[in-house]
Amino acid sequence: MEIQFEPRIEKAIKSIEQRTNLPRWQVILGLEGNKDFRKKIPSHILKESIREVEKDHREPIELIMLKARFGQAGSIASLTQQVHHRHPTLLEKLGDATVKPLTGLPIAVAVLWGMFKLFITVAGFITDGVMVPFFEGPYDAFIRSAVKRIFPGGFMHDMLIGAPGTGYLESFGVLTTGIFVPIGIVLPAVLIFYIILTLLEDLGYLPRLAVLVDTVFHRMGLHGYSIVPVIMSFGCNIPGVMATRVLSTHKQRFMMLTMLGVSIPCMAQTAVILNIVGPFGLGWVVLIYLILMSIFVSMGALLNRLIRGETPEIAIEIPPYRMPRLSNLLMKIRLRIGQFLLEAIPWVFVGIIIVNVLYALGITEFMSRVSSPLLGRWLGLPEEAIYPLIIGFLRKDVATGLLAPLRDANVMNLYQIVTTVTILVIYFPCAATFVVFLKELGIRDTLKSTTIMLIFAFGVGGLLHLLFSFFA
Amino acid sequence: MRILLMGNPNVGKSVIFNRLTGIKVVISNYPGTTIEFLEGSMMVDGTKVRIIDVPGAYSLVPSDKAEEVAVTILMKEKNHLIVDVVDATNLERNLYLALQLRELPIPIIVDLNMIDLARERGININKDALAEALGVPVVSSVAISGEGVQELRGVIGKIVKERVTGGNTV
Repeated sequence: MEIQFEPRIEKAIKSIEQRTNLPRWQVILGLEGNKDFRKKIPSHILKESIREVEKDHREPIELIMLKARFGQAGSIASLTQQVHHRHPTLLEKLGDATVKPLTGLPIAVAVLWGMFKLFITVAGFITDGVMVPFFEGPYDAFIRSAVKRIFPGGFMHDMLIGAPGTGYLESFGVLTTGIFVPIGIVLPAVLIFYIILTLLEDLGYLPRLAVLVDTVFHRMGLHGYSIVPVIMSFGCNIPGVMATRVLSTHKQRFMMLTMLGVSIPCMAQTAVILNIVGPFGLGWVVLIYLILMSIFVSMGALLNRLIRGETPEIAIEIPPYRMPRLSNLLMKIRLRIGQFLLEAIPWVFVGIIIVNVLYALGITEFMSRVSSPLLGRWLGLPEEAIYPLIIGFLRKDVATGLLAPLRDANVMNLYQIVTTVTILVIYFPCAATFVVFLKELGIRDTLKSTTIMLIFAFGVGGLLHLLFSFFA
Repeated sequence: MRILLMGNPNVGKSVIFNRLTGIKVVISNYPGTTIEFLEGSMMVDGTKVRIIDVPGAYSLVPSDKAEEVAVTILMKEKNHLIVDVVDATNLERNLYLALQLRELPIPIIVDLNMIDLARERGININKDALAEALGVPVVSSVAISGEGVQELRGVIGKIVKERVTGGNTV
């Protein structure tokens, strides 16, 4: 059965069909604006056939077809569905309340605060109550004696469990720090955070939070196109980068990727930031996010001016609230934790081995000396900060986790921690994200983007140090 | 034998894909979770059939990369059947794509997904009338609980059997 368009459109379709021998469906898709099929219709035939219709409707053919299709869809829908009037359900009312700024903002603050409290309590308990006693107690005793039996001293001994006399956490051995930081600090944080976020994601709260932020963004002169990749990047930057495919121009994609790389910490990193900075108080965590947000906004405005090209708006669809399913929830958490274990730990090992080799060769010392004007004077950081910064090229969550021992051993104070965390978020996409960047942007734009990141990272870091040395 | 799962973003294509193939795909409650396509397979009466979870699209005239991917999958290879997953709570908007798809020289099944939510919202869809208006088989489902998936399998099976040979390249 054929669904007909109005007579004048039909006449145009038939005339093209006859003159080109293309099947009806190809002609229709061509008229609707699909480029591949539009190409198949010689332009003089196209022009002659649609002249009358366009004149009649005073609109381009694509728009005429669009309206005609919606007309068809509308009449079929009204013929086949009955909609009964009824009052909005509780979920729908909640849906509206969380998007409107007046009610939405307080709800958002409450949700985020609740998340923070829940997170700090549970993750803190797992790390301090379970992991630390285990790793410092039985695990430490076992691994030390085992390694000493095989390698009584020398490079392998130091590489596996750190130089003699160093404390457990800051020993930088593959089997000590290399196991403890990812398992003891990062894993609990990531696990709890994943559970909370997955819940909010399946419920449908995240896009609403984004819309809420979007209205604020709009007032600051930024468009709403960035929302989907941003939400996804808060999970992991990789799907976020992929999601920039919803943006229509190259300019938008370059901007968005750079902005994501610079100011959106992934779920794992957020978890670790909460874990490291959280104990100093929520205010400091909020400060870091405010810094990141203002970089995001100012960078967007800046790039928008500097790069030529268009930034058309896109509309996004907000899904309804849906009840999360336990099975889907568990599946996703298992998948994500599995991914974390498989991806994070090898990187940590690689990173720690690199650090140890560099140390043994004396390169670390050389690097700290060379970078000491930058690290020490410009950023106000101790030499030890070089380790997280090296690992930060590979895995940002673990790099941030490395700050825990430095914090606990009082090698770094609160201000230095905040500065390093901020630099780590900004300065380079992790190795995996870097690869996706290469794939999506090509090498030249990736280099451009990372240069921007490095400049921003050390610029902001220096500024923070300056501010802190005023106040502290 | 290749079947495409198509439809607007966030209508439950990936859940249907999970149900049909048993492959675990990450599913989220926001549009655009599937950007690259996924492939799996299911058995229909002893025939192995490939199923593609196509990224969500509102129209066959692509306006972003995800839709481009969707149209490329549809046009560049041989496909034997399209299952158009439709959000039953948004029939009119979803019919836009259905109308475009039904014109293609490939058989199509319309699956009214999330029919439970539609019922809850007081939306009653007359499946027979819709099937007649579109000229294609229409089934309904609640993918997340599995309701209606057997029926969908059945209809797929019937069409697969009818066209074990043949198939069309668009």
